[in-house]
Amino acid sequence: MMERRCARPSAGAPGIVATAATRLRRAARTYEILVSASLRGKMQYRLDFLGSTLIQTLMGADNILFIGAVLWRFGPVMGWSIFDIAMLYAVSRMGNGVYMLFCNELDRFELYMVNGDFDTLLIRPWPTLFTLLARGVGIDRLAFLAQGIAAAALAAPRLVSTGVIGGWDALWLLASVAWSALLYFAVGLATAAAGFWIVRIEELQVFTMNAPSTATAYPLDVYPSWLKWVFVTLLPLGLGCYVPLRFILDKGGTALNLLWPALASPVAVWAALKLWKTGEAHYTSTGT
Amino acid sequence: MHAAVRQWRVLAGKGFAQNLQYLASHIVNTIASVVFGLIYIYVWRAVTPESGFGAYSSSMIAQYICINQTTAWFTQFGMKIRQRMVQSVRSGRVAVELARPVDFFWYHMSFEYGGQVYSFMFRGLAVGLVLSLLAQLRLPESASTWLGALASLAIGGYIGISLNYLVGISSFWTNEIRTLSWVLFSLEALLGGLSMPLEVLPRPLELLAKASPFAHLAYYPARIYLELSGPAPILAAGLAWAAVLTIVARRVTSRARRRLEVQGR
Repeated sequence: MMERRCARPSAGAPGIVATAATRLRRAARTYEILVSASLRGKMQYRLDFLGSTLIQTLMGADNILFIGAVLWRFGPVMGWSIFDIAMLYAVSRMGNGVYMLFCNELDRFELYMVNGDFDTLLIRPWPTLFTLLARGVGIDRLAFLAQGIAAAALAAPRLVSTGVIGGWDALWLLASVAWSALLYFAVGLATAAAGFWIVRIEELQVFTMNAPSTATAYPLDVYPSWLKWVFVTLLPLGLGCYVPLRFILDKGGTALNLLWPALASPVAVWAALKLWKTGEAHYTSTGT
Repeated sequence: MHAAVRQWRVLAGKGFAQNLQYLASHIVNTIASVVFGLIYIYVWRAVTPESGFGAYSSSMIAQYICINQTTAWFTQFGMKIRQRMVQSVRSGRVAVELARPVDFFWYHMSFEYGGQVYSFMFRGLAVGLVLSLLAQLRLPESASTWLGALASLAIGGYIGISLNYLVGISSFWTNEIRTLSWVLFSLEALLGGLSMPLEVLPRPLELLAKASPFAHLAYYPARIYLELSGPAPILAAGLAWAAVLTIVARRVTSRARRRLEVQGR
């Protein structure tokens, strides 16, 4: 605090930039220290970690097995082949995986509210969200990422050989993963922020995260227009995967399909951060 | 015998009453369950050929999904037995539970059964009511179909709780049961037929699923309700699985009792 006050009077524009850079470096260093401590804790039982990740990767793939079984029997769905849908699933799953990896604590946020553990975040010298996210990297949730990568590895060769994707498409697919991850973060953060008012959010997470996550593993063309609208606006997880992939995989749309998620995902994150800040101001401890 | 029935009734009543405290969060979850049901109904409508497949027409599959999203609230969803057991072991409270003059397995079974009756009545039926409007669910006319479907559902609930109990009691050996919970959840989803008739699976997997206890959680009760299968052989197989799981659960419980170490305070 003192350091910030001292720097201000003499600081011109370069000074402000230098201060911001210093703060950013300090934040990165703090994040690194906290994350390594969390990882060391989790890796104490290395074999258990590897075993559980492997089992979760294999057993948690029931959704794609369901899709595979259905498509294997009935053929393409609304013009989407099994490889198209595998790529759609891959992008959605990888986005979810990145979110789980870096924002695992948001997924467990109900415990902070119920047990009063959020109090301990308030007394730290960093923003609460920063401290929360640095407390636990979801290395034990790598299964999501692994499933997405496996599905992409299975689908990509066929999509390339049939000329569906090529050239810059790989880059756009990666961008879609990033947009998807940002949208998962926005929805996850907004849902967690609701905890400041309603405390218990686990059931709400099923509605805002799990249901849209399952729905967007399929092309949204299968749903009626009102439900499709819900999954690209109110619960916008479909905006990060279905909308861009529709264009990338030649299923329709225009180049605007790439523009919308690029514009909407930062806006969604900004809105969720605002909600978090407002909620934080309303926080009442349960007392421990 | 009279005392055992009374004990069951009291514990099941407590399990039922405890759930009444979480009405608001249950309403949110019920809405989510309706959305899941809608997702599967629309996906099936999109993929099913006009002629249907096997014994299933497009309308029949929509009804199948509707029934399963309703009954799963009794046989699969919302079970707390695993978490209750693992927390009980972690806190050491399990020592008190084991010292009670009540059989440990029956204590948890009856408490959870009451909770699942609540889930079915206040959550499952609400989901079923909404989805039935879309799926145009028809009601069976025959009383024997109703009785068969309800009996199959009652057995399915027992099997579901027993499977969850076995995962929960593994916490006597390991404090972390998340991986085993994942395995159970995935097997229930894949082999139970919750979101698809088992005939969709490749033939060897279909046969395995039909012979497994998981099929009694969703597939068989729905088949009886839709009058696609006769109840007698299914109920016999379900009772056999319930007996096997009871024997296994009690044996594991007796080993766990010898294994238990409690950190004193």
